[in-house]
Amino acid sequence: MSSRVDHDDLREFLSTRLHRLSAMAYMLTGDHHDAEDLLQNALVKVAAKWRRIARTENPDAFVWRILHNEHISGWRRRTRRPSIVSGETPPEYADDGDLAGRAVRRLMIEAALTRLTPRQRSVIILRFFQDLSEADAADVLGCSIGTVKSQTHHALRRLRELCPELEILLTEGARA
Amino acid sequence: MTDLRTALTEIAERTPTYAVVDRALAQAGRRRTRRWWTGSVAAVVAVAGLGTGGLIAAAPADQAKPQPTVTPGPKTVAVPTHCESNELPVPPGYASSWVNGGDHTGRYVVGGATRGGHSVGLIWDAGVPSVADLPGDQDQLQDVNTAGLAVGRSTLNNHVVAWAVQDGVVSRLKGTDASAAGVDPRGRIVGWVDHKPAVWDSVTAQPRFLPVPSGVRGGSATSIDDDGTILGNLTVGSAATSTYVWRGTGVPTPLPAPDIGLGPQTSSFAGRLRGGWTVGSVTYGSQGRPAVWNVRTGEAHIIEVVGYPTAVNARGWILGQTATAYYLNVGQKRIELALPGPADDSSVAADLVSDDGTVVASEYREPAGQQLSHALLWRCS
Repeated sequence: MSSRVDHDDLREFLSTRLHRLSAMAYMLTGDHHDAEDLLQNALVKVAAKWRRIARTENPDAFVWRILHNEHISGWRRRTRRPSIVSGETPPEYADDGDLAGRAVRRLMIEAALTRLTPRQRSVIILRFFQDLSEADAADVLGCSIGTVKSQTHHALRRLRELCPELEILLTEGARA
Repeated sequence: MTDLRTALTEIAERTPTYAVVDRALAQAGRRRTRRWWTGSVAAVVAVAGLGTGGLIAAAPADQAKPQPTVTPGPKTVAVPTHCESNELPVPPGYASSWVNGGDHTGRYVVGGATRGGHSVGLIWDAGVPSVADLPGDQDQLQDVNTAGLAVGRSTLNNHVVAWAVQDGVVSRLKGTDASAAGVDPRGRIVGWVDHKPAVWDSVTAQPRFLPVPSGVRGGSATSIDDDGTILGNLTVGSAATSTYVWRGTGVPTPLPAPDIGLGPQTSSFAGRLRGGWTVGSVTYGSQGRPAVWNVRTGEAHIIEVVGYPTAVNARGWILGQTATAYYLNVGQKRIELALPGPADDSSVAADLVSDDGTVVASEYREPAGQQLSHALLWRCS
Protein backbone atom coordinates (compact mmCIF):
# COMPACT_ATOMS: atom_id res chain seq x y z
CA MET A 1 0.00 0.00 0.00
CA SER A 2 1.50 3.30 -1.04
CA SER A 3 0.70 5.10 2.22
CA ARG A 4 2.54 2.36 4.10
CA VAL A 5 5.57 2.83 1.85
CA ASP A 6 5.36 6.59 2.41
CA HIS A 7 5.20 6.08 6.13
CA ASP A 8 8.19 3.74 6.14
CA ASP A 9 10.11 6.34 4.18
CA LEU A 10 9.06 9.06 6.61
CA ARG A 11 9.97 6.91 9.60
CA GLU A 12 13.44 6.46 8.20
CA PHE A 13 13.76 10.18 7.57
CA LEU A 14 12.66 10.97 11.11
CA SER A 15 14.79 8.32 12.78
CA THR A 16 17.92 10.45 12.58
CA ARG A 17 16.12 13.74 13.17
CA LEU A 18 13.63 13.06 15.92
CA HIS A 19 15.89 14.16 18.73
CA ARG A 20 16.74 17.49 17.11
CA LEU A 21 13.08 18.11 16.29
CA SER A 22 12.20 17.24 19.89
CA ALA A 23 14.75 19.79 21.08
CA MET A 24 13.37 22.47 18.76
CA ALA A 25 9.83 21.76 19.96
CA TYR A 26 11.00 21.99 23.56
CA MET A 27 12.77 25.31 22.97
CA LEU A 28 9.68 26.65 21.24
CA THR A 29 7.31 25.69 24.05
CA GLY A 30 9.48 25.53 27.18
CA ASP A 31 7.51 22.54 28.42
CA HIS A 32 8.06 18.87 27.65
CA HIS A 33 4.38 18.01 27.48
CA ASP A 34 3.51 20.93 25.28
CA ALA A 35 6.56 20.18 23.14
CA GLU A 36 5.42 16.62 22.66
CA ASP A 37 1.96 17.80 21.64
CA LEU A 38 3.42 20.38 19.28
CA LEU A 39 5.79 17.92 17.63
CA GLN A 40 3.04 15.35 17.22
CA ASN A 41 0.70 17.89 15.62
CA ALA A 42 3.47 19.05 13.29
CA LEU A 43 4.34 15.49 12.28
CA VAL A 44 0.69 14.76 11.47
CA LYS A 45 0.93 17.58 8.94
CA VAL A 46 4.31 16.36 7.72
CA ALA A 47 2.85 12.88 7.18
CA ALA A 48 -0.06 14.31 5.22
CA LYS A 49 2.32 16.16 2.88
CA TRP A 50 5.23 13.76 2.98
CA ARG A 51 5.00 12.65 -0.63
CA ARG A 52 5.44 16.26 -1.71
CA ILE A 53 8.00 17.13 0.98
CA ALA A 54 10.20 14.14 0.07
CA ARG A 55 10.55 15.46 -3.46
CA THR A 56 11.76 18.90 -2.42
CA GLU A 57 15.43 19.80 -2.44
CA ASN A 58 15.50 20.42 1.27
CA PRO A 59 12.93 18.33 3.14
CA ASP A 60 14.43 19.41 6.47
CA ALA A 61 13.55 23.05 5.83
CA PHE A 62 10.02 22.00 4.95
CA VAL A 63 9.65 20.05 8.18
CA TRP A 64 11.07 22.92 10.24
CA ARG A 65 8.66 25.29 8.52
CA ILE A 66 5.70 23.13 9.50
CA LEU A 67 6.94 22.89 13.10
CA HIS A 68 7.49 26.63 13.44
CA ASN A 69 4.25 27.53 11.65
CA GLU A 70 2.34 25.13 13.84
CA HIS A 71 3.76 26.87 16.87
CA ILE A 72 3.32 30.42 15.61
CA SER A 73 0.02 30.24 13.84
CA GLY A 74 -2.44 28.18 15.64
CA TRP A 75 -1.14 25.55 17.88
CA ARG A 76 -2.28 26.06 21.43
CA ARG A 77 -1.22 24.28 24.57
CA ARG A 78 -3.61 21.46 25.26
CA THR A 79 -3.17 18.24 27.09
CA ARG A 80 -5.50 15.91 25.32
CA ARG A 81 -2.90 13.36 24.50
CA PRO A 82 -0.94 11.38 27.04
CA SER A 83 2.40 12.87 27.85
CA ILE A 84 5.02 10.24 27.61
CA VAL A 85 8.64 10.60 26.74
CA SER A 86 10.74 7.87 25.26
CA GLY A 87 12.76 5.63 27.50
CA GLU A 88 16.02 7.19 26.36
CA THR A 89 17.91 9.00 29.05
CA PRO A 90 19.21 12.39 28.02
CA PRO A 91 22.99 12.34 27.76
CA GLU A 92 24.86 13.63 30.76
CA TYR A 93 27.20 16.59 30.55
CA ALA A 94 30.87 16.04 30.29
CA ASP A 95 32.37 17.53 33.42
CA ASP A 96 34.37 20.46 32.16
CA GLY A 97 34.77 22.13 35.52
CA ASP A 98 31.95 24.65 35.13
CA LEU A 99 28.98 22.41 35.58
CA ALA A 100 27.07 24.67 37.96
CA GLY A 101 27.67 27.76 35.89
CA ARG A 102 26.53 26.06 32.73
CA ALA A 103 23.43 24.66 34.39
CA VAL A 104 22.46 28.09 35.68
CA ARG A 105 23.05 29.65 32.28
CA ARG A 106 21.00 26.98 30.55
CA LEU A 107 18.09 27.40 32.95
CA MET A 108 18.21 31.18 32.55
CA ILE A 109 18.11 30.89 28.78
CA GLU A 110 15.30 28.36 28.98
CA ALA A 111 13.26 30.68 31.18
CA ALA A 112 14.03 33.70 29.02
CA LEU A 113 13.04 31.92 25.82
CA THR A 114 9.58 31.30 27.20
CA ARG A 115 9.15 35.06 27.62
CA LEU A 116 9.72 35.79 23.94
CA THR A 117 6.94 35.87 21.39
CA PRO A 118 6.54 32.67 19.37
CA ARG A 119 8.10 34.28 16.29
CA GLN A 120 11.03 35.65 18.30
CA ARG A 121 11.63 32.19 19.72
CA SER A 122 11.60 30.80 16.20
CA VAL A 123 14.23 33.21 14.89
CA ILE A 124 16.50 32.60 17.87
CA ILE A 125 16.27 28.82 17.41
CA LEU A 126 16.75 28.93 13.65
CA ARG A 127 19.62 31.41 13.74
CA PHE A 128 21.52 30.29 16.83
CA PHE A 129 20.58 26.61 17.24
CA GLN A 130 20.15 25.55 13.63
CA ASP A 131 22.79 28.05 12.49
CA LEU A 132 20.73 29.14 9.51
CA SER A 133 21.56 32.30 7.60
CA GLU A 134 19.08 35.16 7.77
CA ALA A 135 17.91 34.25 4.27
CA ASP A 136 17.39 30.58 5.13
CA ALA A 137 15.58 31.48 8.35
CA ALA A 138 13.33 33.82 6.37
CA ASP A 139 12.62 30.98 3.96
CA VAL A 140 11.64 28.60 6.76
CA LEU A 141 9.42 31.18 8.44
CA GLY A 142 7.93 32.42 5.18
CA CYS A 143 8.84 36.03 5.91
CA SER A 144 11.28 38.63 4.64
CA ILE A 145 14.94 38.84 5.61
CA GLY A 146 14.11 42.23 7.08
CA THR A 147 11.58 40.60 9.39
CA VAL A 148 14.15 38.02 10.50
CA LYS A 149 16.62 40.86 11.20
CA SER A 150 14.14 42.92 13.18
CA GLN A 151 12.76 39.91 15.08
CA THR A 152 16.31 38.81 15.93
CA HIS A 153 17.09 42.31 17.13
CA HIS A 154 13.97 42.48 19.30
CA ALA A 155 14.49 38.96 20.63
CA LEU A 156 18.09 39.61 21.64
CA ARG A 157 17.16 42.91 23.24
CA ARG A 158 14.39 41.16 25.18
CA LEU A 159 16.76 38.40 26.28
CA ARG A 160 19.18 41.08 27.53
CA GLU A 161 16.40 42.73 29.50
CA LEU A 162 15.29 39.44 30.98
CA CYS A 163 18.72 38.33 32.08
CA PRO A 164 21.30 41.14 32.18
CA GLU A 165 23.88 38.62 33.41
CA LEU A 166 23.91 37.22 29.92
CA GLU A 167 25.12 40.48 28.39
CA ILE A 168 28.41 39.14 27.07
CA LEU A 169 26.90 36.02 25.71
CA LEU A 170 24.16 37.93 23.93
CA THR A 171 26.50 40.55 22.53
CA GLU A 172 28.38 37.73 20.92
CA GLY A 173 25.16 36.25 19.69
CA ALA A 174 24.07 39.52 18.17
CA ARG A 175 27.24 39.78 16.17
CA ALA A 176 26.86 36.35 14.65
CA MET B 1 30.52 28.93 18.64
CA THR B 2 29.05 31.69 20.73
CA ASP B 3 27.81 31.25 24.24
CA LEU B 4 24.22 31.60 23.11
CA ARG B 5 24.77 28.72 20.71
CA THR B 6 26.43 26.68 23.44
CA ALA B 7 23.54 27.28 25.80
CA LEU B 8 20.99 26.25 23.18
CA THR B 9 22.98 23.13 22.35
CA GLU B 10 23.07 22.24 26.03
CA ILE B 11 19.30 22.63 26.26
CA ALA B 12 18.96 20.33 23.25
CA GLU B 13 21.30 17.75 24.76
CA ARG B 14 19.11 17.52 27.81
CA THR B 15 15.87 17.22 25.89
CA PRO B 16 14.54 13.67 25.61
CA THR B 17 13.41 12.31 22.28
CA TYR B 18 9.63 12.42 22.16
CA ALA B 19 8.22 9.13 20.94
CA VAL B 20 5.45 10.68 18.86
CA VAL B 21 6.04 9.24 15.40
CA ASP B 22 3.63 6.30 15.76
CA ARG B 23 0.91 8.50 17.15
CA ALA B 24 1.39 11.15 14.48
CA LEU B 25 1.27 8.60 11.67
CA ALA B 26 -1.84 6.98 13.16
CA GLN B 27 -3.48 10.38 13.45
CA ALA B 28 -2.52 11.29 9.89
CA GLY B 29 -4.12 8.08 8.70
CA ARG B 30 -7.23 8.87 10.68
CA ARG B 31 -7.42 12.34 9.22
CA ARG B 32 -7.14 10.95 5.71
CA THR B 33 -10.14 8.75 6.38
CA ARG B 34 -12.16 11.42 8.15
CA ARG B 35 -14.11 12.25 5.02
CA TRP B 36 -15.33 8.69 5.08
CA TRP B 37 -17.88 9.45 7.77
CA THR B 38 -18.37 13.20 7.47
CA GLY B 39 -21.88 13.98 6.44
CA SER B 40 -23.25 10.50 7.02
CA VAL B 41 -26.06 9.52 9.30
CA ALA B 42 -25.37 7.68 12.51
CA ALA B 43 -25.10 3.96 12.10
CA VAL B 44 -23.54 1.10 13.96
CA VAL B 45 -21.29 -0.88 11.72
CA ALA B 46 -19.71 -3.27 14.14
CA VAL B 47 -19.82 -4.23 17.79
CA ALA B 48 -17.26 -5.86 20.03
CA GLY B 49 -17.44 -7.00 23.62
CA LEU B 50 -15.63 -5.00 26.25
CA GLY B 51 -13.87 -6.76 29.06
CA THR B 52 -14.42 -10.20 27.62
CA GLY B 53 -12.39 -9.20 24.57
CA GLY B 54 -14.72 -11.40 22.55
CA LEU B 55 -16.50 -10.37 19.44
CA ILE B 56 -20.25 -10.06 19.82
CA ALA B 57 -21.12 -9.11 16.29
CA ALA B 58 -19.40 -7.69 13.30
CA ALA B 59 -20.54 -6.74 9.85
CA PRO B 60 -19.00 -4.92 6.94
CA ALA B 61 -20.14 -1.32 6.70
CA ASP B 62 -22.25 -1.81 3.60
CA GLN B 63 -24.25 -4.61 5.21
CA ALA B 64 -24.83 -2.79 8.44
CA LYS B 65 -28.38 -2.01 9.33
CA PRO B 66 -28.52 1.60 10.46
CA GLN B 67 -29.61 1.78 14.06
CA PRO B 68 -29.27 4.32 16.82
CA THR B 69 -26.27 3.96 19.10
CA VAL B 70 -28.18 5.53 21.95
CA THR B 71 -29.32 3.73 25.06
CA PRO B 72 -32.15 5.75 26.63
CA GLY B 73 -31.14 7.48 29.84
CA PRO B 74 -32.95 7.00 33.13
CA LYS B 75 -35.12 10.05 32.59
CA THR B 76 -36.48 11.06 29.25
CA VAL B 77 -35.50 14.51 28.11
CA ALA B 78 -36.51 16.32 24.99
CA VAL B 79 -34.08 16.13 22.11
CA PRO B 80 -33.14 19.72 21.26
CA THR B 81 -33.95 21.01 17.83
CA HIS B 82 -31.99 24.23 17.87
CA CYS B 83 -28.83 25.57 19.53
CA GLU B 84 -27.93 29.24 19.98
CA SER B 85 -24.25 30.13 20.38
CA ASN B 86 -22.87 32.77 22.70
CA GLU B 87 -19.28 33.76 23.28
CA LEU B 88 -18.34 33.03 26.89
CA PRO B 89 -17.23 36.35 28.41
CA VAL B 90 -13.60 36.81 29.48
CA PRO B 91 -12.19 39.45 31.83
CA PRO B 92 -10.95 42.66 30.18
CA GLY B 93 -7.59 42.44 28.45
CA TYR B 94 -7.68 38.74 27.60
CA ALA B 95 -7.30 38.17 23.90
CA SER B 96 -7.81 34.49 23.37
CA SER B 97 -9.96 32.04 25.34
CA TRP B 98 -10.81 28.38 25.20
CA VAL B 99 -12.78 25.59 26.85
CA ASN B 100 -11.34 22.35 28.23
CA GLY B 101 -14.35 20.81 29.94
CA GLY B 102 -17.22 21.28 32.31
CA ASP B 103 -19.51 19.56 34.78
CA HIS B 104 -22.26 17.31 33.49
CA THR B 105 -25.04 19.74 34.40
CA GLY B 106 -23.49 22.46 32.22
CA ARG B 107 -23.36 24.96 35.07
CA TYR B 108 -19.57 25.07 35.36
CA VAL B 109 -17.25 25.31 32.37
CA VAL B 110 -13.44 25.43 32.68
CA GLY B 111 -10.85 26.64 30.25
CA GLY B 112 -8.43 29.47 30.03
CA ALA B 113 -7.38 32.67 28.36
CA THR B 114 -4.17 34.44 27.43
CA ARG B 115 -3.02 37.98 28.01
CA GLY B 116 0.37 39.13 26.75
CA GLY B 117 1.62 35.59 26.33
CA HIS B 118 0.63 34.57 29.87
CA SER B 119 -2.20 32.10 30.21
CA VAL B 120 -4.59 31.84 33.15
CA GLY B 121 -7.29 29.36 34.05
CA LEU B 122 -10.93 30.44 33.83
CA ILE B 123 -13.99 29.00 35.55
CA TRP B 124 -17.39 30.06 34.22
CA ASP B 125 -20.29 29.63 36.65
CA ALA B 126 -23.53 29.96 34.69
CA GLY B 127 -21.55 31.93 32.12
CA VAL B 128 -19.86 34.31 34.58
CA PRO B 129 -16.05 34.00 34.46
CA SER B 130 -13.63 34.03 37.34
CA VAL B 131 -9.87 33.94 36.89
CA ALA B 132 -7.79 31.20 38.50
CA ASP B 133 -4.24 32.44 38.01
CA LEU B 134 -2.21 29.40 39.00
CA PRO B 135 1.38 29.89 40.18
CA GLY B 136 3.80 29.56 37.28
CA ASP B 137 2.73 29.70 33.68
CA GLN B 138 0.88 27.72 31.01
CA ASP B 139 -2.13 27.31 33.28
CA GLN B 140 -4.67 24.75 32.14
CA LEU B 141 -7.81 23.95 34.09
CA GLN B 142 -8.99 20.67 32.65
CA ASP B 143 -12.10 19.54 34.49
CA VAL B 144 -14.64 20.67 37.08
CA ASN B 145 -17.24 18.75 39.09
CA THR B 146 -20.81 19.65 40.03
CA ALA B 147 -19.56 21.23 43.28
CA GLY B 148 -17.37 23.65 41.33
CA LEU B 149 -14.07 21.96 42.22
CA ALA B 150 -11.78 22.57 39.23
CA VAL B 151 -8.48 20.77 38.58
CA GLY B 152 -5.58 21.36 36.24
CA ARG B 153 -1.91 22.07 35.98
CA SER B 154 0.70 24.71 35.35
CA THR B 155 4.41 24.83 34.75
CA LEU B 156 6.37 26.12 37.73
CA ASN B 157 10.17 26.25 37.92
CA ASN B 158 10.45 23.84 34.99
CA HIS B 159 8.14 21.29 36.61
CA VAL B 160 4.54 20.48 35.80
CA VAL B 161 2.46 20.97 38.95
CA ALA B 162 -1.11 19.79 39.62
CA TRP B 163 -3.66 22.17 41.14
CA ALA B 164 -7.20 22.24 42.46
CA VAL B 165 -9.33 25.38 42.66
CA GLN B 166 -12.50 25.77 44.72
CA ASP B 167 -14.28 29.07 45.35
CA GLY B 168 -11.18 31.00 44.34
CA VAL B 169 -8.86 29.06 46.66
CA VAL B 170 -5.95 27.48 44.80
CA SER B 171 -4.44 24.31 46.34
CA ARG B 172 -1.37 22.52 45.13
CA LEU B 173 -1.87 18.77 44.80
CA LYS B 174 0.90 16.61 46.24
CA GLY B 175 3.52 15.15 43.94
CA THR B 176 6.34 16.56 41.85
CA ASP B 177 5.88 16.53 38.10
CA ALA B 178 2.16 16.00 38.32
CA SER B 179 -0.91 16.99 36.36
CA ALA B 180 -4.62 16.71 37.21
CA ALA B 181 -7.03 15.96 34.37
CA GLY B 182 -10.34 14.84 35.84
CA VAL B 183 -12.46 15.08 38.99
CA ASP B 184 -15.58 13.18 40.07
CA PRO B 185 -18.55 14.51 42.12
CA ARG B 186 -16.94 13.24 45.34
CA GLY B 187 -13.77 15.20 44.70
CA ARG B 188 -11.54 12.34 43.66
CA ILE B 189 -8.98 13.60 41.18
CA VAL B 190 -7.16 11.67 38.46
CA GLY B 191 -4.12 12.57 36.42
CA TRP B 192 -0.51 11.59 36.40
CA VAL B 193 2.51 11.83 38.68
CA ASP B 194 5.94 11.31 37.17
CA HIS B 195 4.33 10.07 33.93
CA LYS B 196 2.35 7.37 35.75
CA PRO B 197 -1.45 7.31 36.11
CA ALA B 198 -2.44 8.46 39.59
CA VAL B 199 -5.42 9.28 41.80
CA TRP B 200 -5.75 11.80 44.61
CA ASP B 201 -8.66 10.77 46.87
CA SER B 202 -9.04 14.39 47.95
CA VAL B 203 -7.39 17.75 47.42
CA THR B 204 -5.11 17.15 50.42
CA ALA B 205 -4.42 13.43 49.82
CA GLN B 206 -1.14 11.88 48.75
CA PRO B 207 -1.40 10.58 45.20
CA ARG B 208 -1.56 6.84 44.75
CA PHE B 209 -0.54 5.12 41.55
CA LEU B 210 -3.06 3.08 39.60
CA PRO B 211 -2.15 -0.53 38.81
CA VAL B 212 -0.73 -0.98 35.32
CA PRO B 213 0.12 -4.00 33.19
CA SER B 214 3.74 -5.10 33.04
CA GLY B 215 5.89 -3.38 30.46
CA VAL B 216 4.22 0.02 30.80
CA ARG B 217 6.54 2.86 29.81
CA GLY B 218 4.29 5.64 30.93
CA GLY B 219 0.78 6.86 31.05
CA SER B 220 -1.86 9.08 32.52
CA ALA B 221 -5.35 8.87 33.95
CA THR B 222 -7.53 11.26 31.99
CA SER B 223 -11.07 10.97 33.29
CA ILE B 224 -13.12 9.58 36.19
CA ASP B 225 -16.80 8.65 36.04
CA ASP B 226 -19.36 9.04 38.83
CA ASP B 227 -19.10 5.32 39.70
CA GLY B 228 -15.32 5.52 40.08
CA THR B 229 -14.43 4.00 36.71
CA ILE B 230 -11.27 5.63 35.40
CA LEU B 231 -10.09 6.09 31.85
CA GLY B 232 -6.47 6.65 30.95
CA ASN B 233 -3.80 6.22 28.35
CA LEU B 234 -0.89 3.82 28.59
CA THR B 235 2.11 3.09 26.44
CA VAL B 236 2.99 -0.58 26.84
CA GLY B 237 6.26 -1.82 25.41
CA SER B 238 6.72 -0.64 21.87
CA ALA B 239 2.98 -0.49 21.13
CA ALA B 240 1.27 2.76 20.28
CA THR B 241 -0.43 4.51 23.17
CA SER B 242 -3.93 3.17 23.84
CA THR B 243 -6.79 3.99 26.15
CA TYR B 244 -7.44 1.70 29.13
CA VAL B 245 -10.28 1.31 31.63
CA TRP B 246 -9.78 0.82 35.37
CA ARG B 247 -12.80 -0.77 37.02
CA GLY B 248 -12.34 -1.87 40.62
CA THR B 249 -8.85 -2.49 41.91
CA GLY B 250 -7.26 -4.70 39.28
CA VAL B 251 -5.10 -3.93 36.31
CA PRO B 252 -6.88 -2.03 33.54
CA THR B 253 -8.17 -3.48 30.30
CA PRO B 254 -7.68 -1.79 26.94
CA LEU B 255 -10.71 -0.45 25.11
CA PRO B 256 -11.58 -3.19 22.64
CA ALA B 257 -11.81 -2.77 18.92
CA PRO B 258 -14.38 -4.42 16.72
CA ASP B 259 -13.02 -6.53 13.86
CA ILE B 260 -14.11 -4.70 10.75
CA GLY B 261 -11.78 -6.39 8.31
CA LEU B 262 -8.97 -3.86 8.56
CA GLY B 263 -6.64 -6.16 10.47
CA PRO B 264 -5.76 -6.01 14.14
CA GLN B 265 -6.20 -2.87 16.18
CA THR B 266 -3.01 -0.80 16.44
CA SER B 267 -4.25 1.63 19.05
CA SER B 268 -7.33 3.26 20.44
CA PHE B 269 -7.84 6.69 21.81
CA ALA B 270 -10.80 8.04 23.73
CA GLY B 271 -11.52 11.29 25.52
CA ARG B 272 -13.66 11.80 28.58
CA LEU B 273 -15.80 9.19 30.27
CA ARG B 274 -19.36 10.18 31.15
CA GLY B 275 -22.10 7.86 32.39
CA GLY B 276 -20.16 4.90 31.04
CA TRP B 277 -19.78 6.41 27.58
CA THR B 278 -16.66 7.61 25.85
CA VAL B 279 -15.86 8.46 22.23
CA GLY B 280 -12.68 8.48 20.22
CA SER B 281 -11.09 6.41 17.54
CA VAL B 282 -9.59 3.03 16.81
CA THR B 283 -6.59 2.77 14.55
CA TYR B 284 -6.05 -0.30 12.41
CA GLY B 285 -2.59 -0.01 10.91
CA SER B 286 -2.64 3.43 9.37
CA GLN B 287 -6.43 3.64 9.14
CA GLY B 288 -8.52 5.23 11.84
CA ARG B 289 -12.21 4.83 12.54
CA PRO B 290 -14.42 6.79 14.94
CA ALA B 291 -15.72 4.78 17.85
CA VAL B 292 -18.03 4.94 20.85
CA TRP B 293 -17.69 2.73 23.87
CA ASN B 294 -20.00 2.04 26.77
CA VAL B 295 -17.72 0.63 29.44
CA ARG B 296 -20.68 -0.30 31.70
CA THR B 297 -22.52 -2.46 29.20
CA GLY B 298 -19.38 -3.69 27.46
CA GLU B 299 -20.25 -2.30 24.05
CA ALA B 300 -17.82 -0.96 21.50
CA HIS B 301 -19.10 0.41 18.24
CA ILE B 302 -17.42 1.70 15.17
CA ILE B 303 -19.76 4.54 14.31
CA GLU B 304 -20.68 6.96 11.65
CA VAL B 305 -21.57 10.28 13.17
CA VAL B 306 -21.54 13.66 11.63
CA GLY B 307 -18.07 14.94 12.33
CA TYR B 308 -15.17 13.52 14.22
CA PRO B 309 -16.50 12.52 17.68
CA THR B 310 -15.16 14.75 20.44
CA ALA B 311 -17.45 14.28 23.44
CA VAL B 312 -20.45 12.29 24.68
CA ASN B 313 -22.94 12.77 27.50
CA ALA B 314 -24.54 10.20 29.83
CA ARG B 315 -27.29 9.59 27.26
CA GLY B 316 -24.83 8.70 24.54
CA TRP B 317 -25.39 11.92 22.62
CA ILE B 318 -22.24 12.57 20.65
CA LEU B 319 -20.62 15.84 19.70
CA GLY B 320 -18.91 15.76 16.33
CA GLN B 321 -16.77 18.25 14.51
CA THR B 322 -16.35 18.60 10.77
CA ALA B 323 -14.13 21.09 8.97
CA THR B 324 -16.93 23.63 9.01
CA ALA B 325 -19.23 23.00 11.95
CA TYR B 326 -20.00 21.16 15.14
CA TYR B 327 -22.93 18.76 15.37
CA LEU B 328 -24.77 17.17 18.25
CA ASN B 329 -25.67 13.66 17.15
CA VAL B 330 -28.67 12.11 18.92
CA GLY B 331 -29.20 8.73 17.34
CA GLN B 332 -29.79 9.51 13.71
CA LYS B 333 -30.79 13.09 14.42
CA ARG B 334 -28.26 15.85 14.20
CA ILE B 335 -28.40 19.39 15.49
CA GLU B 336 -25.96 21.88 14.00
CA LEU B 337 -23.92 24.03 16.35
CA ALA B 338 -23.12 27.04 14.20
CA LEU B 339 -19.60 28.48 14.34
CA PRO B 340 -18.90 32.20 13.97
CA GLY B 341 -16.63 31.64 10.97
CA PRO B 342 -14.68 29.05 9.01
CA ALA B 343 -13.22 26.32 11.21
CA ASP B 344 -9.85 24.64 11.17
CA ASP B 345 -10.25 20.90 11.10
CA SER B 346 -7.00 20.42 12.97
CA SER B 347 -8.54 21.80 16.15
CA VAL B 348 -10.44 18.87 17.54
CA ALA B 349 -11.61 20.30 20.81
CA ALA B 350 -12.41 18.68 24.14
CA ASP B 351 -16.01 19.75 24.23
CA LEU B 352 -18.75 19.44 26.79
CA VAL B 353 -22.35 18.43 26.25
CA SER B 354 -24.47 18.42 29.40
CA ASP B 355 -26.42 15.29 30.30
CA ASP B 356 -29.73 16.93 29.44
CA GLY B 357 -28.32 18.22 26.15
CA THR B 358 -29.21 21.85 26.85
CA VAL B 359 -25.62 23.13 27.17
CA VAL B 360 -22.71 22.60 24.80
CA ALA B 361 -19.37 24.29 25.34
CA SER B 362 -16.30 24.40 23.16
CA GLU B 363 -14.26 27.00 21.46
CA TYR B 364 -13.94 28.40 18.00
CA ARG B 365 -10.41 28.77 16.79
CA GLU B 366 -9.84 31.25 14.04
CA PRO B 367 -8.31 29.68 10.92
CA ALA B 368 -4.56 29.20 10.60
CA GLY B 369 -2.68 32.45 10.54
CA GLN B 370 -4.63 33.80 13.48
CA GLN B 371 -3.76 32.93 17.02
CA LEU B 372 -7.14 33.70 18.50
CA SER B 373 -9.69 31.29 19.82
CA HIS B 374 -13.00 32.09 21.47
CA ALA B 375 -14.71 30.12 24.24
CA LEU B 376 -18.29 29.45 23.17
CA LEU B 377 -21.39 28.14 24.86
CA TRP B 378 -24.48 26.96 23.05
CA ARG B 379 -27.87 26.79 24.72
CA CYS B 380 -30.03 24.17 23.10
CA SER B 381 -33.76 23.72 23.32
